[in-house]
Amino acid sequence: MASSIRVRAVENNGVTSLKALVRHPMDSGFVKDSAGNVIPAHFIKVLTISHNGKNVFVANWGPAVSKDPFLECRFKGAKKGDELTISWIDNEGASDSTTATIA
Amino acid sequence: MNKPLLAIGISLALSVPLAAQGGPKEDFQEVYAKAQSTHQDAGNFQWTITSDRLKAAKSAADSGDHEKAMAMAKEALKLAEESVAQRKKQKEAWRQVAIGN
Amino acid sequence: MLKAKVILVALGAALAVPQALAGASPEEDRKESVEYFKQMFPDVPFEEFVNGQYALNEDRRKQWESMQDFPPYEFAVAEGQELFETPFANGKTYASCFENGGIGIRQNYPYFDTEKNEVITLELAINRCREANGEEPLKWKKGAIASISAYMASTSQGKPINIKVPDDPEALAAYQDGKKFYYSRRGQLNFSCASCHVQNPGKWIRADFLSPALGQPANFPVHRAKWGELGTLHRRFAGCNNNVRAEPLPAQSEEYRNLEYFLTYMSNGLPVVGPATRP
Repeated sequence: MASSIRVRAVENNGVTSLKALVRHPMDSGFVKDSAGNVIPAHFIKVLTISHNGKNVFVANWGPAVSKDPFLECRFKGAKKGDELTISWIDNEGASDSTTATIA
Repeated sequence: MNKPLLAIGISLALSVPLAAQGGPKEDFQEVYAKAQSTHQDAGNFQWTITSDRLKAAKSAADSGDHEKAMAMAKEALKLAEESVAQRKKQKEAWRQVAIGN
Repeated sequence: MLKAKVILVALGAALAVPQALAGASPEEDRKESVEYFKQMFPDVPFEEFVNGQYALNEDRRKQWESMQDFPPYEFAVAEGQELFETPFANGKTYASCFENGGIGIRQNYPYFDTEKNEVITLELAINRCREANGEEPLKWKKGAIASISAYMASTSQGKPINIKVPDDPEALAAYQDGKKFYYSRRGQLNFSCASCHVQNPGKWIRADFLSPALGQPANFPVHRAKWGELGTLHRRFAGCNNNVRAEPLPAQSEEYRNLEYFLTYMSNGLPVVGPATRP
């Protein structure tokens, strides 16, 4: 199955710019379906970006983040050709991760 | 002619239609039915607010609030009539604003 | 006889046809329409009209451009491709129902079927394909049909819209019907499509920025931030009608198909950019 994470990372003058789109329903647990039943909460709890085994970015998400979150961030210390690992874990215990090479 | 008698006679005659109308339920049915059929007559030019008022009228009637039901039905009728007028006017009015006619 | 005809044609060409006599042809309508918008927005290059408000509002354009790296409809298009390529229970695929296997044909929709005497939109063709192959039709406004339509549109990126109104009285009637719908005021708020998109593009209506009619169908199906998902053109028609307190018509009803026919014809020559994002 295709990864839920699409990512692009570009390095310029020592700063790596990363953009990612993550496929996830991010249900808050407050919304009801058309039959009147609450759609259970289902959201990413933590998203992590790591480089050379070190976390460069950690996001503690929750029900306030909307569906298919888009993320953009910048960090120093990486260079072109390096590999990054982006991973997430949600409140149901499911997880996914992907790697990307910095362009 | 005896003026006072005439006056009484006229006022009696005028009051008869009111008496013949019967109770509030029948009034409501008449207005509601008229509002519905006028709303239908608007065809593709029906207004959402007319439907809202019709629904409100029906639910008020169902729960026994006859005053509100009648008020909603009357509003629905008025809105339906306006939407029919719109449909009729727009039959040709659109030509005035169309580009390339 | 021929001499008389030639003289008449020459006279006709020499005289400006008075409005009262002119049943202006669709092509004449379109040219006048393009001229109208060019005059209204002289700094917008013709192709840019397909970007609607982003061609007119700098701030919104910047936000949109920064989203283009990862447009929110990406997943839906991938899903759409999967749905498009998956065979039906009988083994056939959508490709069997369309010209060129359904690839790179979006710019030809909607078209007028002179045998059935009706406008065929892309979504209608998708569902007719399903029914012809023993499958249940999809819902019209969102979900799978929007994803499939989005995938098919993505294979036509950049192709110029090419709607035809054949010299056929039924086709012309459908076009005229769509044109009439477009310019007729409706709803308690008494607005026509033209009230906003012909008379007031470039202005704000509450928190929405109005786009001009020219180029609008090119970016459908559209991912609206408001919906959080893709929606078809008829979903938008229904939404707009509802906004002016006019009872929306059913998606893919004759009226909405005729409206789509007229509206898309007006955008002939502009590139397909669907699916796209909008607020």
